[in-house]
Amino acid sequence: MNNIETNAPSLFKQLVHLRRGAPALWYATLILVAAELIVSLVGPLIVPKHVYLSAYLGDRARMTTIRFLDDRDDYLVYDSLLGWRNRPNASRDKWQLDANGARSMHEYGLDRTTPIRALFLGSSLTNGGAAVTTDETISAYLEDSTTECLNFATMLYTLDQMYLAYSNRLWQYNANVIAVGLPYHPSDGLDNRYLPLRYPQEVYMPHFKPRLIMRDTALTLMPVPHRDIWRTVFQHNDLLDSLVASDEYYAEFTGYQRCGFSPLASLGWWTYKKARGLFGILSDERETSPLVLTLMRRLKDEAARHDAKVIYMLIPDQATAFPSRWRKRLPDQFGTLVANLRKEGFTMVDVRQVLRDSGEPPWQLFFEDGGHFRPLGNRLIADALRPLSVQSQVQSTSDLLLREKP
Amino acid sequence: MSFASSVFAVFLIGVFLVYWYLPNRPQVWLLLSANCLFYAYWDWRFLALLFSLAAVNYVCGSQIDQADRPVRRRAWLLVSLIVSVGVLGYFKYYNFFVESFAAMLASAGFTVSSVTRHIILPLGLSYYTFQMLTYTLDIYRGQIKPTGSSLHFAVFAGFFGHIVAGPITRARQFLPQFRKERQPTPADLEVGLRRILLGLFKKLFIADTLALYLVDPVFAAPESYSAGLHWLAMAGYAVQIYADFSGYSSMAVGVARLLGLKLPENFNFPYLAVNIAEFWRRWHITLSRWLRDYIWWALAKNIPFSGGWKIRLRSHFSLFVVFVICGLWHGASWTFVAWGALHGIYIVTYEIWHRSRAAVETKKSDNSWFSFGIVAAWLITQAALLVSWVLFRSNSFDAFASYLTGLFSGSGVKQLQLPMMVWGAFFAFAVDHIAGWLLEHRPTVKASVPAITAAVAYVALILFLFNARPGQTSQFIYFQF
Repeated sequence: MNNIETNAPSLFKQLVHLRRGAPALWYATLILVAAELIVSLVGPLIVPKHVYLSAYLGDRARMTTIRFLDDRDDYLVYDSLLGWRNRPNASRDKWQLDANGARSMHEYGLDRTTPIRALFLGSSLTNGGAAVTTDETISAYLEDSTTECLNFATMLYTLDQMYLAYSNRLWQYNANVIAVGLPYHPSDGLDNRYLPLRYPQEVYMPHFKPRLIMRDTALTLMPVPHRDIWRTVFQHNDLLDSLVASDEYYAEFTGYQRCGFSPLASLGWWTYKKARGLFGILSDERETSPLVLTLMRRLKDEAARHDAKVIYMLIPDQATAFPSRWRKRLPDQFGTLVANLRKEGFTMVDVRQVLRDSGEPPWQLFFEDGGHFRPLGNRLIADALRPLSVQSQVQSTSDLLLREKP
Repeated sequence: MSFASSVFAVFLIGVFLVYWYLPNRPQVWLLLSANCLFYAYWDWRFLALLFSLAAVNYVCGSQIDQADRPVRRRAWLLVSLIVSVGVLGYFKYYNFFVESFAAMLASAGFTVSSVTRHIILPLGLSYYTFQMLTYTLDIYRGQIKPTGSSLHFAVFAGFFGHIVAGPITRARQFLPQFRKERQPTPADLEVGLRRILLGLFKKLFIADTLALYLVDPVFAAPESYSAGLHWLAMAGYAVQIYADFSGYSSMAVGVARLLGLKLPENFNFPYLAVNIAEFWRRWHITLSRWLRDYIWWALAKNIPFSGGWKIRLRSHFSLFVVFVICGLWHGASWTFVAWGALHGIYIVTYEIWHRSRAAVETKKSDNSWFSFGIVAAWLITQAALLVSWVLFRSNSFDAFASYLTGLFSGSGVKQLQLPMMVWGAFFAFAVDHIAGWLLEHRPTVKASVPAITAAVAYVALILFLFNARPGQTSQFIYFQF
């Protein structure tokens, strides 16, 4: 009580002192706070959401959206189920796709011509990205006289899209090994529908994706909007309104609406996000998401229906594979996840262990972005994959024989 | 840790809060720690070098003061000069001189193997050296007494507000401030924040916008662009370098002010200058004065301002040499030397002309600020400056000549999309200089601006800067020097 009594006048005096000694600063502080409140609280009430979205993503994203929906994008085509898929025969510099839309060494038909046909699913980490040539990808390094590979990994695909792609179309390629590249947080992006809400910086891929929602054990599909409706995202609020409840990343956009235009609010929002991120890193092991397990099991079962075995590759980024000294003190979420998934009965390649065992320095394995692999990294992963794919094929053949025996 | 980065903002807020929480003496220790942290963030390996240089100059200062004979005083000054300039010469100019010497021998038909070394230039070494030399030189001249505190001297030498790119602060300006009681005042807070805000605006909006959208693309491949874009980029670079460097200087003054310290001004609306001498009284003022007081004065102190033509010739030659040194100080490259020499020619030409046509200056001092003569002088001065900036920016003489040719015969067809921000940056620069002109010619304008109007302008500036700055930030140009 004493403290309050002695401090209060002092604070008041200081404020009066500031007002007299630095009137412009005093008024500027008041006006700035008022402006912050108006921009944060009143702005979203009167400015339409699509106007904010235009400011959030910029002209580039708007132009990319139109190009993509007009079927003029160089690398991707609209897909009513998956949102996007690789454009057949697309090519640029080191990046070349075949008529199937796969990044493969040779163009293959539906029937396999070697004992092992491996089909790759994943994101650009599995695809190889634009910085390596096709013969420097994981799938290319795996190919030999007994193995042919079709690399259908597609930029920014998440596990749900991989599952949908395989179960609806890619099973037709009669692969007996399905190699699936999982990001080290496999649940990331599964609750996202509009990519820019998750990755505002991805102005070259402002795309919608499907979302699978699990209710009890059933999966419900929230589909990709028709391209005519998708086209209106920068013109009307309707589509954005539908994302409020169906996209878990919508809060990022709301944060931008309220805090993105004024410095103090923006600082507060940034601090909150950093604290949340830090809490995520410091927290103990994440429980493996039920949706992830369900999708992995479904993919495995679906493959089994087509006499194929699934090998999951859990792919770390550079910071996870070669952690700094302070990161080493944090809980090993990656290791826990690998162990949990193996315990669930999945065939796993621990890519992190493969990279560490190689003894190669990180900069020989990863590109500067710390995510995509250099050719050496891809080769090491392929080497780790080879015995498992052969083993899967042998097992798959014996399963088939056992089934045919009666 | 650039002044325009969020890391520096966090650093400054931390230092500011702890600084004013502490009594005066511990404040100095805090500043020393902050200086070390600031510099170590760039490269901790050179901290020992900087401390050693400071120690040598501190000891030399004391010895100069205590020496009983002029010979000894001169000897200690020489130690200070040789060590300081020697270190600067090694780190900044070793490869330049070795390469130039090898090239000279090679052109004479001798074969020489390369003896250059991979030397990293410690950040801010040029400024650091010049600042420390003001201490020993001023003691030698009897203008100051040595400070009794090595702590104060270490803080002065490495103060994070000026170590990287000035303003070049003299010991006699900085050290006495430690002897006075420092109290936080609202006026200091307001001035400090205002200077930082204006500096940020100049750097992040004017300089970076022009660099990103206009200057960098055109200077990278001038042959691809039309003559019109050559002219525009040339003007753009003149504005960019001013906004970049004066923005930095403004922030440095503001940062010091927040800590209750005063640094000298470095800019005074230089493009208002109507002659080249006036330009150097307005541009990088602390360097100009340093060169005048410590080099030109040493070269020409015995030369009277009037007399026979031989004496005038020596005076002009001294001026020319000072500007060549000024060019070399900016960078270890012949283009910088040529840039300095060009300014030397400008200023000697002006001096000769000025002596024969003193009437123009007289007319100006009569307050008739607008006349055909003044406008013509301003245009000629600006044209000369623009040409010199092209040389300053060019990596080679070929590039310089090619750019100048392109001003009249550039026929590239490459299009450059210039966003509105580019014109906004030019406009903001014009407003800045018009305001400067008003302050000089209508001093009552500043006093008549109400606090509330100024406050609205500051908030508008903050919100504009927050939302309209370009996505990329470039390094401050003068950090490389």
